[in-house]
Amino acid sequence: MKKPVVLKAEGLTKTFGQGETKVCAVRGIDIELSKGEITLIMGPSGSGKTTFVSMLGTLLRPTSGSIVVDGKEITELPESKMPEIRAKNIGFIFQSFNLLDALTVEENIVFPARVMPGGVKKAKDRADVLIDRFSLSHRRKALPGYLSGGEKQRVAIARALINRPSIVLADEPTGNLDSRSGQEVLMALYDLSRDENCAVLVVSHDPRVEEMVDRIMWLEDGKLADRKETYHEWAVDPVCKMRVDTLTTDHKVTLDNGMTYYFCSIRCQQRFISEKKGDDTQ
Amino acid sequence: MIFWILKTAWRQKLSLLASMAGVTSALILVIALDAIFLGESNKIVNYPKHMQPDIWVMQKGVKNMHMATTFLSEWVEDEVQAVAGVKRATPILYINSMMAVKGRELFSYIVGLTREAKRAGPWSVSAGKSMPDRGEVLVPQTLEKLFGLELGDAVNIAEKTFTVAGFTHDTFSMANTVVFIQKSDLEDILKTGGFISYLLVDIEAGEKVDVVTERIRKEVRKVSVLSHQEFINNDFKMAMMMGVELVSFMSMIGTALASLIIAFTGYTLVARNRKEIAIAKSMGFRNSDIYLAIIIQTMLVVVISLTASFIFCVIAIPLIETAAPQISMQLSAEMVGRIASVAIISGVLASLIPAYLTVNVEPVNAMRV
Repeated sequence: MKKPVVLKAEGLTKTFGQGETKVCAVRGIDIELSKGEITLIMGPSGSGKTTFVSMLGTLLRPTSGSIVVDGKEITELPESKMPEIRAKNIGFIFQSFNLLDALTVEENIVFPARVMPGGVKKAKDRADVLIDRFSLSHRRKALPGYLSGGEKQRVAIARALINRPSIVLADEPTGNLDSRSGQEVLMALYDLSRDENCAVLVVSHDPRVEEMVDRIMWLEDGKLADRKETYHEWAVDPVCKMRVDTLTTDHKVTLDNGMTYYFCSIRCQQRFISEKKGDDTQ
Repeated sequence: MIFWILKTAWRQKLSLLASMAGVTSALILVIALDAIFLGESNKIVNYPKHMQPDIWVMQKGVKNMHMATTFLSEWVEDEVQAVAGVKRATPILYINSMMAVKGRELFSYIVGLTREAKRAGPWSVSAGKSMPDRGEVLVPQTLEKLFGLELGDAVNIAEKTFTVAGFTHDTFSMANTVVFIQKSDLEDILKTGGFISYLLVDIEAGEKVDVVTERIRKEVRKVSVLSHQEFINNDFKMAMMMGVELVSFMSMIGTALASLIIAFTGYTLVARNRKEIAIAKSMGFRNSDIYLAIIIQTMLVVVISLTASFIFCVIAIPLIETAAPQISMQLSAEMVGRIASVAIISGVLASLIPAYLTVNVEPVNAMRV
C-alpha cells in the first residue's frame, strides 16, 4: 500500500544573483516524501543540498516550482504565513545542533511549543515522553554547554518532534559526531520515521546513513536522481554496540561454538579477541 | 521568546550589567542636572517665598523679583497703607549686584531694609545681628563654610565696603545670594534717595486678598499689584526660564547618551544572537515575537536603570548638599514622571535599530554551520 505523501515538490528551482553572476543552485527538482519513510539526499559539496532542504523547510523561497505540504500549496503564501507552517508541519535537525545556549535541555525541547496553541504547558507531557525516549532524563536541567555531541543531537531531535511535525528535515545530523554517537542518532531517526510516522529527509555524506534509509537520491549540479535500494542485515557490534551490516562488514569473528560476531572496525574486533583470550586464561 | 531573551540576557550578565551601569549613569546625569536646576530655581525664589506677604506692590510692568529692577516713589507706601483692608505695607529697596567676598564675586540680591522693616529681613539668623546697622551686611552662613568668612570681615558691594555683622540661614544659591544692608546704604550705592522697590503688604484679618488687591489697583496709580502666589509663580517661572535652555541641552545630552547605550544593548543582543534568532525563526517564531521580546528586555534595562538611578540620587543628594553646601538639589514627583517617560520613550525608539536587525535575520541562517 502506498504511504500518504506529506510533502511534494515539483520543478523546484533556485537561482542566486543576476546576469553574469547568476548561479543556479537547484534545477527543476521533483520529489515526494511519504509518511514513515526515510529519504537520504547525497551529493558532493556545493551540489545544492542545503539550498534544496532550506526550500523544502520554507526557510528559503524557490525561484520557481511548487511545494505542497500536507496538501497545502505553500509556495505562493505570503511570508507572514510561513512561521505557522514551520511550527506545525516541519521539524529541523541541524548539523551544528543549534541548541539555544541559555536554555536547559528541557527548555530547549519545549521551545518550539511556545508558538503553538497551549504553549509549553500543553507540551509538557510530550516533552517528558521524548526526554525518556532519548535517554535524557538525567540531563533534563543541564545547559547545552555541558552535553556531549550525541546528547546535543538527541536533544535537537526531541526538539524537532515536540510539535508532532509530519516532516523532519535533517541536515548532516551526524556531521559533528563520533561514530558511536552518530550511530545512536541514525537509529533515533530510523525509529522516529517508523514510530512517529514522520517523513524524514536526511542530507548526509555519512555512508552509514545509506544503510538505514528507504530511498537514496543523488544531488549533483542542482539535479536529483534516484539510487537503487540496498539490502541490509543488521547485527550489533558486541564491543561498541553500534549497528553493523553483516553483508558488507569486513570485521567478523566466528568462535569455536559456531557463534559469529560482527564489528564496526578492526579496533573493536581486536578488542573483542583480546578480551576473549583474557577470559579463557582465567 | 521573552523567556529565551531574558535567559540569554541573564546568561550574558556582564554585558547586561555594563549596559545597565551605562544607562544608570546617563540617567543619574539627567536627574542630577534636573535636581540642581529645580533646587537652584527654588533657592532663587527663597526670599519672596519666606517673606509671604499677602500682596506685592511694585513698579508698573514688573511682575517678579529675580533679575528685575523696580523703583517706586516712597510716598506710594503711604498711599498703599491708606487703602482699606491693608494692615501693614513694608518697603524694601532692592537691586541685583555683585558682592566681592575674599576675591570671589557672587551675584546677589541686595535687600535694603529700613530700621522699622524687620518683617522684610532674614527669616533665620545663625550668628550675629538680625538687622544691619549702617555699613553692615548680613550674609549667608554658607559663605562662612565656603570662604572662611567670619563676623567682622569685610565684603564689597558695588565698590562699597561692608562689615559682616550676621550670618543667615537658607539664603545662598549658586545663582543668587541674598544679603541684607540698610536702605540708606543701598541709596548711597545707587546715589539716589526717596525710592523703594517693593511693598510687602499684609492685609487685615477677615479681608480677602483679591478684594484688597483690586482696591490697591484702583486707588494707587502706576503700580503693579500681585497676590503672593502670582508673584511667586512669576518669579519661579523666570528663574526656570533663565536656566532652562542650558539644562534642557544637558538633559538632552544625557537622554541621548542613555538612548545610545540602550540601542547599543539591543544591537549587541541581536548581533550576538543572530544565529539563535534565525533558529527561533526556523521553528516558527515571528518577527513580532522576537521584537516584542527585545522591547521587553530593553524596557527591563530601562526600568531597572531608572530605579537604580533614582535610588542613587535619593541617597546621594543629601550627602552632596552636606559636602558641597553651595549646591542645592531637589527631586520632585513631576521630575520623576518626566524623566521616566522620556527614558521609556527613548528605550522604545532605541529598540528600533535591533528591530530592524531582527527583521533582516533570515531563518535560512539557521542552516549555516
